[in-house]
Amino acid sequence: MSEAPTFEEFASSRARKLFQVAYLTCGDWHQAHDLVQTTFGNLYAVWPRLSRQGQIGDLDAYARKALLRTYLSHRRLRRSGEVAMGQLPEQATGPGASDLRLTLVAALRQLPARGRAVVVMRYLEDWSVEATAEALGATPNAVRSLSLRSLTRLRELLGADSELLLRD
Amino acid sequence: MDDFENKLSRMLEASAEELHPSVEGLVAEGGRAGVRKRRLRRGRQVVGATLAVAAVVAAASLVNTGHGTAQSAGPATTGTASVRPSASVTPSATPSATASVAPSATAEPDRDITWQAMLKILHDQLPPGAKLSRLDPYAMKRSTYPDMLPVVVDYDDGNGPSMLEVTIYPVGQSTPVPKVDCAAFPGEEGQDRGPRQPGYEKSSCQVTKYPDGGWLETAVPGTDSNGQYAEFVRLYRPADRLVIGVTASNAILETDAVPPAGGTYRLTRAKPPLGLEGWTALLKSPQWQLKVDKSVLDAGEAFAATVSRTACPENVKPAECKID
Repeated sequence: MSEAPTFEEFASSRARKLFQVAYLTCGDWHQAHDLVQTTFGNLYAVWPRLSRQGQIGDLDAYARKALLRTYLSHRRLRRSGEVAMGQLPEQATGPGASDLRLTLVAALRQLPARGRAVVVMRYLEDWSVEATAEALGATPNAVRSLSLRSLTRLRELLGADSELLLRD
Repeated sequence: MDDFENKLSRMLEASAEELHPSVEGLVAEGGRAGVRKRRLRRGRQVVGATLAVAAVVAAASLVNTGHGTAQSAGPATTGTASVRPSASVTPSATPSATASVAPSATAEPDRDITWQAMLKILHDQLPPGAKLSRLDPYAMKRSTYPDMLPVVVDYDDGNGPSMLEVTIYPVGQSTPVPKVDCAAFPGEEGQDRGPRQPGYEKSSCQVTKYPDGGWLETAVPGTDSNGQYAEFVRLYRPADRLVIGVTASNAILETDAVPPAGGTYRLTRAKPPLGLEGWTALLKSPQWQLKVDKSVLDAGEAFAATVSRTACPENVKPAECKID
């Protein structure tokens, strides 16, 4: 039986993946940093309880759920409580951005916050409708509907470019 | 999955592969934020217990020394709830007696502001007849940063309720001074994503810089897909390194929704109440302080008890809605 990881072990092994989810969801390098740090901060604060209750095995789902909710919470509070530092658009994309990433992030930005979250969880993380719904606190029907609307919009925005972008 | 969905998956994966953040930085900063959260929780517990003990001892000492007034002698047997601040102590009382009860009227406030006090201050600043209801503990519990204190409540001025979010926090501890500008406006922020009804406010953004380094940000973004929008006003006061902001929506969260992730809004009015100028005046009130007197906390506690609350969402643990 393997020993439960420490917070540092868990966070180190998941940081990049969580960052990828955060970045593609929010579309901003610095905000993605902020989201992952806040998520880790929340996880750290409850780590002893999670360890005691033997919930370490569920941490991946827990962390993604926390990340999504932090993101959506950021969106709600982003004017009255926003603390993210201002940045130029090119800095927001992060280093070494390809045309593919720039185009994709620009298209995702045209979706509402929950739409982006659904697209990333469903098509990057391969989550089921039910799991996505649970993480967002929405009904499966709401996720299906949001997913459909988001795909329709992305088809309009990316349809002609997607093949070319994937070839580069 | 159809062809486009497959392509979308591949595009997301390829984009994700490009991303190489500083893992060490994320883990270290996340850990530090977690430590601050734990300290804050413990700190609040310790401060609460210490104040309770100090107040009982203070009240008892008043009785023993005979310096207490009729009002201040009473609490010896009832604890903190009835101990009055210095206003109830006569000016001729000896320094030891006044100091042991509470700071004098001219002493600096030394209590951290609470959400209850914020709620009361908010109510006091609103026009007469203001009705606050449906305080949202779940939204408040999940404040984005450890030092940020939020109040999320519906405000009805008689023309339909509006969801308000008021936040206050100190900069320089866990949070930097926000940098504000309207460079990205109208852009994504100013565009309408949904229907705009007659009477809606035009989208706008303005930042006013003050000579002391402070600033005021006011903005009205475009509508979301349902026609919801809000007025945002945020003020930075460098003298006490405080940022205070308000978000006033033309909608409220439905009662049967899970806020904020699954929350659906109900449009309640064309414009949020007060307007940008009204919210600006409200935020500029000197009543907003990070440190306040105990009397302010007490008044806040009493007032908060009169404000209704939204139910904790079904799929959320009760602890996630515990704010008292």
